[in-house]
Amino acid sequence: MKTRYILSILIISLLAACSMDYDPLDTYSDVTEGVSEDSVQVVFEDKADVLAHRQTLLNLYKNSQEHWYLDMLLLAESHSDNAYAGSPGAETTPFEVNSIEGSNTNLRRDWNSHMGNIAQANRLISFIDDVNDPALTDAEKLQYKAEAKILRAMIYFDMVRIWGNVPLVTTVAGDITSETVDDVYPAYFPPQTDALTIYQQIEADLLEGLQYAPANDPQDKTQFSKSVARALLAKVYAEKPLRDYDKVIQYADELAADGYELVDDYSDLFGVILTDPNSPPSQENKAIDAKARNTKETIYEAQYFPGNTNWATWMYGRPLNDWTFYFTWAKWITPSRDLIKAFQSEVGDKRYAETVVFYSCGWNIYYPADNYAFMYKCRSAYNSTIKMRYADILLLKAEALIGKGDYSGAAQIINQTRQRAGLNNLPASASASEEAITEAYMKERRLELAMEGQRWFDLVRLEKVEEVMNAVYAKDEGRPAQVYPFTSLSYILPVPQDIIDQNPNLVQNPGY
Amino acid sequence: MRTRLLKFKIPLFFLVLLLGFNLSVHAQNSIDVRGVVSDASGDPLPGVNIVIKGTLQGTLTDPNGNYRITVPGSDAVLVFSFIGYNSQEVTVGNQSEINVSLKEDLKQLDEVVVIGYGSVARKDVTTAVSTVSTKEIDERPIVSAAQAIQGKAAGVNVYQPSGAPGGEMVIRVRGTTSFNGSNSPLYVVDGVPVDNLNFLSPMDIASMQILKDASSAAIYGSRAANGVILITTKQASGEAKISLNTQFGVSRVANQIESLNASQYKELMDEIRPGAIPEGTTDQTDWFNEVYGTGITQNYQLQISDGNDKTRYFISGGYLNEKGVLSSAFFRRYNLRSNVESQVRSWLNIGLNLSYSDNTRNGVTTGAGSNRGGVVLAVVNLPTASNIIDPQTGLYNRTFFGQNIVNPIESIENGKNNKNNENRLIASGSSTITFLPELTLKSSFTLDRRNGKVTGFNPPVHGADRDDWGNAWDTRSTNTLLVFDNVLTYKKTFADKHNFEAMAGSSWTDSQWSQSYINGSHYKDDNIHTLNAANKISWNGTGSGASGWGIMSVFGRLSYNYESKYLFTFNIREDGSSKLHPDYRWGTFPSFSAAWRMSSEEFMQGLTWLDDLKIRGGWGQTGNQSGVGDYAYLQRYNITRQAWFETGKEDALPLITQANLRTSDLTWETTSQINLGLDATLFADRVTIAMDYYSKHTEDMLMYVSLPAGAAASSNIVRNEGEMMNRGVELSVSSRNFTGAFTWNTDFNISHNTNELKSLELQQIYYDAETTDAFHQIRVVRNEPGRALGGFYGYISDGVDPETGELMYRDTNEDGKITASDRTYIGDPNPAFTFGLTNSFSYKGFSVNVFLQGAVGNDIFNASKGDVMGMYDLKNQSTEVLHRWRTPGQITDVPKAGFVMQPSSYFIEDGSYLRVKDITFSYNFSGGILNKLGVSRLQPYVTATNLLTLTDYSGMDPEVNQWGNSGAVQGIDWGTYPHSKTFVFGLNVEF
Repeated sequence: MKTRYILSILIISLLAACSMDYDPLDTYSDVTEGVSEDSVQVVFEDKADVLAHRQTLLNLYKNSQEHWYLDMLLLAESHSDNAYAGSPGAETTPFEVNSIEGSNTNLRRDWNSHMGNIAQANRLISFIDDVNDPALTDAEKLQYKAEAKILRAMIYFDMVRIWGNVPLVTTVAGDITSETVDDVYPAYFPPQTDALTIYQQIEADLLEGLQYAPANDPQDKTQFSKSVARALLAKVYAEKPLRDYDKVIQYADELAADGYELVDDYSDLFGVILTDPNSPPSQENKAIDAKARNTKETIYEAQYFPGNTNWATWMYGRPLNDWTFYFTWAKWITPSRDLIKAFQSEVGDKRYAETVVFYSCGWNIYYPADNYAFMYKCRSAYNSTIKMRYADILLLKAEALIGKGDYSGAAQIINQTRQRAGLNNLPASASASEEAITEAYMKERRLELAMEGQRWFDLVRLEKVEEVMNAVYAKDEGRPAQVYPFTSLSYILPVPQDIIDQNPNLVQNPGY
Repeated sequence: MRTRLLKFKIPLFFLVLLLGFNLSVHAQNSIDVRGVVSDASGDPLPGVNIVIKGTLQGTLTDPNGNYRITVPGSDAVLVFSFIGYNSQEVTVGNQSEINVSLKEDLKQLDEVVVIGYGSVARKDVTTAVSTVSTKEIDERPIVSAAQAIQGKAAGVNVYQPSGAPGGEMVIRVRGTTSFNGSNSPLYVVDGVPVDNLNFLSPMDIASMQILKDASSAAIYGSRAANGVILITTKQASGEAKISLNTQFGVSRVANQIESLNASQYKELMDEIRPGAIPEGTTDQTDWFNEVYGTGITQNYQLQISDGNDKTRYFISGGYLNEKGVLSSAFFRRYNLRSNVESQVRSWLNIGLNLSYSDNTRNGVTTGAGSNRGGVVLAVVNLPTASNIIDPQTGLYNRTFFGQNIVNPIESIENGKNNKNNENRLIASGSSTITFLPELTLKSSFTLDRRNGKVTGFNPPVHGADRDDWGNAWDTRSTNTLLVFDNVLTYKKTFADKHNFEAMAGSSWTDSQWSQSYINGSHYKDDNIHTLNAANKISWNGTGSGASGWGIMSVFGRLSYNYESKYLFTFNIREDGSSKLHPDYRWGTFPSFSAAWRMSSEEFMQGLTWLDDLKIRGGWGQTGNQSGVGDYAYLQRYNITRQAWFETGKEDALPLITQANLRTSDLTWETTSQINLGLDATLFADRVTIAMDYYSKHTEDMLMYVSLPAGAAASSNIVRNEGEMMNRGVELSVSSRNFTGAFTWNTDFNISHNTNELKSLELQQIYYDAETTDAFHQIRVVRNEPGRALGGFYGYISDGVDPETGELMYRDTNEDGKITASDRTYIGDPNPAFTFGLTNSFSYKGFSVNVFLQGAVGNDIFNASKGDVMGMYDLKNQSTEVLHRWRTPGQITDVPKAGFVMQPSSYFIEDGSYLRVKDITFSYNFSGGILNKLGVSRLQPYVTATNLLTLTDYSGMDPEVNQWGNSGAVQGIDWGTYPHSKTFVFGLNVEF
């Protein structure tokens, strides 16, 4: 009797349906964000979701210090005549001695990070039109899409200049299931597109971005404004595939009309505010904030504030806000003797002290330990990293004028930056011939934009790679020996071998 | 003798009734019986179990073999049993003195083997089940139960990937099944699945079984694809027994890599970077002796058990303290266990198993280069000319001639503040209801609650060259697992020939996990470490989390055998898991096995040397869904906080970004396995052989798939991606070479497994394993379909060029340049064979036990060599570099300083090894004084562990894998915590 009693209770409890529905407790997911409404996939539910993703895009450059600042400098400065690698190591030394090949892991990191950023931009561009929220007006949709397109153009502009042939991805691929896998495979494993088509896409994105992006806000240079589009267009049209010097001049002038001009004091761009402004920086005299943000010269920058600072600063030297932080091992992007000589040949150049600083340290790899050179343009954790500033575009205008034969016009522009740097005007002989003005222009551009991620791309654009780089090893006694000579195939870098292994539709660049 | 009594449980209640009736009527008829129990040669046998048949009442013989017992009546039957001997039953009758002579039991076939949700006699097993002997566990210095398995079971590859205290082990049953999911078998302790064995003291283990093939493991269905390890803890057996086991051991590192002295170092540096090292540096510090010390292990276990006819209990408590050879590494455990069982009614048996353990451990950073805190490599990489303390400031030295190395003494000192503590309570209550003698229902409910706490602290230090503000972290987690099982069993024998068993059951598991974590910095001083004393609490390193999962299953088994001659078993299990997509979350896992006892057939009767021969075969399917996250099929988002302290952002809200791609068809990974085996006993039960052949095919293999970046906002997805195959053979042989006064037993097992990744759907090539910075983050393992997992990939090196001193790399594609396309497969970490050999000798109470184990044919990637012989920066190197090339024309195998270093066959070495793992000498005291004190066993012993390793491998230890339990990456030595030689002195006492 009793046993039957117990038996029935147990059987009932056995059959008690236990739910298998467990929802994530600490993670947002399809459960909270929604997967589909009437079999249409919902990516952004409402305006708040769109604004949140837009904020992610706005933070992208700020959060990408590794591939968009540090690695960019390694390529632009150490792979050119401006700097040594700094900390000898297998990922840095190949840039210095020209032995980069498909196994370089910096390039692999950069490729993956840039492509990941493209996907983030595509997400907004592809799905914003599907949002069903009356609070999100059509004008706003156009604006946000335009901003994302400018961002996408900026990323592709860097990628195409580094690798030449990259996959062009402008949509978001669909879900993978065992049924759809064959259909979506080409989207996930795209082939490369040639550089010219990429440039055309960049141009199209920027022109559309120009139409609908917001106007420049002098108080906030972290936005994707029309001015950012203009600056990028000026740079794009200076490059070989779509070269159009008239347009370069046009956009440079439009930027001037937007209110951009050179700041009067060069030190505003990279300086800091010290606890005691009258004494030199030291362990006690710390930097408490950046000297200036949102200057009238910066076009696009990433800003860092106390509490949420940039971390790249200690890769280059002493962070002035924390004098001793990590200062026990060799730093990256050590200014080269060639660059220092170039600065010293222009006596009184105020930019020298802003670009190169000397400390005594505990190693003597490139310089004697008691007087070692360090890169100074990211000198504290509060400093902004400036992606584009007006001096760059202004000098491009000078380049365009040279291209059109107007040497004296170019010299006038060069004199503007020279005067700001405390130098005299160029002599008349400088504008006498194309060779002379080009040499003066290249030197001025080099000194103005040193350590800002421009030099290598300038050498590529002006087709001076072999001439300059094959000669520098003999001139600069601190530079380790060259491994391979620079040739016409050296203008683009190798596609990372791991990426090719991952996606068999990709092909390595010639020469690697 | 709990296992034997299981057989008698069914008719138990009848007998109890009978006896009870008898007792009430014939209470005055109790008889005192006494006698001596001896063995075949007349020597008295202490510790023999004497039980009144049909009850739990019994006693043990004393050290002289004497016993004394009171039986209720003249028809009582005394059962005399002792491990290794045939039991005897004697009816008391009129006798008051019963002397018994026990014969050695060479038949191991009556032993009972625990299988899933039931048990079966060894002779009736139709599947591949290995039993691990627990005999010598109390003589070996093992910390975790997994160590007891190493080398003891064919087809089970166990190794310790690092020598760190706590004995984390990697167990692989029949090869690697999962690419980047979990390859660990399922551990079931007393019927409760648990995820790790850290809480279990090895001395609490009564028996350990490993279910290797599908037909045995399929009853655990969805989690059994990697095999199942069944552990049963001890229960009382007869009379009261108190046993005390103590161990004390010392260990030292077995191997050392010698580093260059100051003048040799300067000479080398002048070749790499002239001028970097100043003149006149002298030897200041012997880093090896500063960092490595002597490790000490202490283990104390106390066990008390007793019982009467109704109730019995087993209580144990213990303390283990293992201090590692690196001074801040330790493992400490307190364990307490109480197993109680009671027959409260004739039809109802209640049991409660409680186990509580509290373990704390602290580790040391390994598997990192010396610039990221890797202590093992730092010892070699530090120049002897550097000091531990900077003489000018009195603080820990951090500059080593410009080379980025973390001071290991400082790391170790700071590491003493780090603690990882876990306390775990497993409470399991069960009831067994006997409806009919053949029909029982066992219900059990288990609570497994685990609390973890990880804390750490780095002190503030200020000086001319440093401003450390001090930081601390505190992470606490709780995991609560509930298991509710019901098993209905029907067992009946018809006409004494047809044995039939049917079983049906259900199981429900629910797991809830939560965690909170805080990081803080800026401390006033290093006196208080808790986070209330930190001025700055990390704004994006602090938070809490939670998740949960559940599994629901129903299962059943039918087995039939005809006189143990023809045996058939059929299992089926249906599982549903919350981790998989709702439309695909139920899976069915059937299995079937059969066996034929050929030796019982007529035509085999003439073979006198063959006692028993059984051939068996089976097929089954098991599933796997471990190693994927709790919500793997959903698209999830990462949460990023916004800096609310920036102007204009005071009320900012977190942002979310897509973390993965959704899988709307995520389902079980299924492994189908065929097993063919043979069990034989030969030469009058002197030799036992088991042989198996198996073939495992895994489909819908669950994997973390990575896709090329750019196509979608995230490029990783978990899906059923590929197919894997494992095939192999196993052999185990046990023989009693000598029996009698001098005994010698041998146990040998050897196994071979071939592994192949058969196919992948999306990305075909996976790279893994970034090791030393010297390789510029190039990954050295490459996996693709058509090969075994874990292949090493790199350049082929052709030795040192006598003219230039560079290491020559082969231009495999003959394009005139050495580029990434010249890389190829250069090594395979999978062994051809793994084996274990145990020999035990004993003579008059003195015994010696020697255990050897090893692996043959596996390659090791010696990534540490890149850091200690790479000669590419300012790190100090091993004395091997004194053989480096220096002058043109010199022939050597060490290239010049600053050679172009790539991952290549220069770093691949043969990792085959034979290790004398344990040698134990013990002596069993008996006689006079002990009897007076009531001591039934006094056994001191000495054990040496890792005494001798025979290998060609030049690194610190061939039994390492920096990637631990990974399926895709094995056999990489990179600054891994080395194993140590240990000497242990112990004492086992029983009262």
